[in-house]
Amino acid sequence: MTSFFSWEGLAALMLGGLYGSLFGAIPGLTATLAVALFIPVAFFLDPVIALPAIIAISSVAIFAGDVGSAVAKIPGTPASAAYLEELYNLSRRKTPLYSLGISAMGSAVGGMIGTIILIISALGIAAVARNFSSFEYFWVAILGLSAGIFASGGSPLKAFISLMLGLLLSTVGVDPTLGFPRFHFGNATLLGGLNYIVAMIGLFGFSEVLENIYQNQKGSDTQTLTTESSSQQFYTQPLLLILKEKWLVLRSALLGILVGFLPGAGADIGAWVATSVQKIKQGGNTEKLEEHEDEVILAGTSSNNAAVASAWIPALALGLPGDTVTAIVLGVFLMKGITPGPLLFDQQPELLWALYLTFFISNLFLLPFYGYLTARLAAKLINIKLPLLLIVITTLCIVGAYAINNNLFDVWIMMGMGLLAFILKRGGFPLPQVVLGMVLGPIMEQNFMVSMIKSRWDWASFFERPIAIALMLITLAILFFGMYYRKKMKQS
Amino acid sequence: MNLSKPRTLFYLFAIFIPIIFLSCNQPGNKTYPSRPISFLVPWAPGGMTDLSSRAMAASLQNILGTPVNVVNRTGGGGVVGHTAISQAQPDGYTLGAVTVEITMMHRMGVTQLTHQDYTPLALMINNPASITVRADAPWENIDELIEEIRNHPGELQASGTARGGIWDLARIGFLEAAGLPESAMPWVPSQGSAPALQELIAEGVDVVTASLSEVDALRKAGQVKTLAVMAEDRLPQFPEIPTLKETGIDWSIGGWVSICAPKNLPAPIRATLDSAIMIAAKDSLFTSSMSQAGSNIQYLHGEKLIHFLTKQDSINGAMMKNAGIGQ
Repeated sequence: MTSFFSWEGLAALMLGGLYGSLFGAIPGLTATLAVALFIPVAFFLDPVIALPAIIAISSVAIFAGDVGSAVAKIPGTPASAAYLEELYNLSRRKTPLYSLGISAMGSAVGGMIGTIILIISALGIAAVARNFSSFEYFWVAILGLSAGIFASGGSPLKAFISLMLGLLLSTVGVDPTLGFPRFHFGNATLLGGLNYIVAMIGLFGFSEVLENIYQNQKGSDTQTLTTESSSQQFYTQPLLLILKEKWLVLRSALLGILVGFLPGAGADIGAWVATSVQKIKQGGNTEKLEEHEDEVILAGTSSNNAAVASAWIPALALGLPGDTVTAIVLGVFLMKGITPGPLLFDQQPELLWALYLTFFISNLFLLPFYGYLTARLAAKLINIKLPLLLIVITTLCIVGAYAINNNLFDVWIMMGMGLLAFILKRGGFPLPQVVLGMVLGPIMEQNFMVSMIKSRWDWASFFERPIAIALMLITLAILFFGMYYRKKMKQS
Repeated sequence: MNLSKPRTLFYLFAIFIPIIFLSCNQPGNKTYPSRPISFLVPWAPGGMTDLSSRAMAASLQNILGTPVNVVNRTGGGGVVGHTAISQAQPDGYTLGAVTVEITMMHRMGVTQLTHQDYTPLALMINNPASITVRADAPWENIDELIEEIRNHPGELQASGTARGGIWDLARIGFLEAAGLPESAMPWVPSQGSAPALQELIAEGVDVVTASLSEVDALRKAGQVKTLAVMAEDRLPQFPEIPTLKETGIDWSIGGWVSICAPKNLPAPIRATLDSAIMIAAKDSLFTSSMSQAGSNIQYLHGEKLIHFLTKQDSINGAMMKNAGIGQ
């Protein structure tokens, strides 16, 4: 085997990071697509080089998803939709260097915590993950949804309505359990359902364009009046913030790990739960919200990268993929004749250590390095004149929506979602919750149906397994404390 | 040009959008192949169809001397991608992976498409279904499992894919051949083999009927054991696993992936592709990656392939009708 510490290995890491940051930053091009396109190349490479490159691609791409949020208000992943508003506002108010600095540094620290947990307790966590059946998944989806209600600063009722709208949109297409076609109007594309990334591009990106045309704004009003050097804004200030808020970071990272290791649930729910816990703590106090934007970003971003590492736990220890990226990686494993599972830990420690080391290098060096480059670029982009920026955003929206499935119909769906968002905004309904509903809807529906079929329609079966009950109690706690703090804030 | 005026903006949009849309089609009429070929895959990246298509595309690319790009066109339980392959221009620049689901989807009422809407080029892989249980399950062989199902009908549950999917048909056929009703081991639908295996090891279901290549990782990890494979003969990669036929149950079924082009592909282009695929199917790049992934290569083309597709369509159709799935 080629050594991991070779020129080829380092080159693979650097190129993987560059490739990942390009893919993550462009709306519609996802970490999954980046990894899928890399597979034919991975065929020819030694796994000790190919797998680190994949880790570099995916961890940098997931951070770079925030670049779209900062510049154009188009989140790259459903996870970054959780703190979209805060990231965008902070970038406009201060500078993208600072907001993306928090995002990159928070991701790096969260990713390191995730990696450490992966090293110490992969087999232990896998033993827990092994016991997850459809009942537990159902409760995790409910947990994510209830977190969504309090993740917006505004009215919980409006957030709830947005969530329900998202759930409703997720029912378009073939029913995931019994294969019954719904709401397709004879259109083969609609049979596949509405893609949430396409919806996200329309809801956030295209609606912003409509909004600006409607209000006919003149020129951009952003002024970056800061005296600090750019590296201070990107590195020093966010790191000081992390030191100050170390418990917040640790809590969010642990939440990310907790939810991230579940096969199929992944980073998205982690970011949503961490963000809403932070917001519940802050209460519905809208006056002070601006001051706390950076903390909300920090909570979301440290949990979603912690989840990236922990998604590898079930893949490595059980051979079950935790998300699409690890599903692809498992495919590469099999092609290379590597069998995941407990045996991997005994028989191929050098491969495992190469993986762990890459996680550290990606988080310690690649994220800060490529993060800084993309943030510098974002700082330039954000000062572009508004009309020109709108044209760029529209182009990105169209290309991005098309690129997801190489389907023209998705472009129309994207535009329809933009219109829908435009109307929702008039009523003050939050948009990220619509995306959350669309992401969690199928997971919830599928696991509910499977549980019911399995238990022969016995409702009590949802309350019989210990982990399921624990998840239910956490859900109730979030709902209770969410309502309680809201009420308290209103009274004071 | 003053960009801040809304009217100028509007004109820019008006120019921009059609250009993007039109640039998606570019005609070409030189000797085939003179530009990159798209290879559509109706299933998600990382699955068996995707992996075999990517290995095949990599080999074809060397042989044809032009890029062969794999494009995942997922959704609708495969309907979206299969439709896209059949509706493409029959110019040889769009090929795709047509999978066993083509024999089933038109009976579920989700599409009119059948295998007759394509120009079939070759069968790539055919992975037989297995009967897999938890490693600590009390049954040591297939006879003991059948005995258990016979004595306690309806108690054990099986999973592997969606209701009416290929592994569900495998279960129905297996029960039927063993002289048991379909309800003796009910089906729990899942989103694919990975979630079904997760349910299996979490003790949510008792049997998984997915293909050997899909259960192989967990089998080697010592989490599950495979009691039988639903094939005519033992598989070369898994000589230790008996076939159902050996135990006197005459039933075999598999999930297969074929390469098809849109209907009415011109004969010269078809001949070029035919010979290229024939070489690629024996290329070590393709064969070694398939055998390491535990996938079973079955290469068929021409008349034999058409015969295979017709037979599969009628067998799976009869199975669905008996079980009351679809229309």
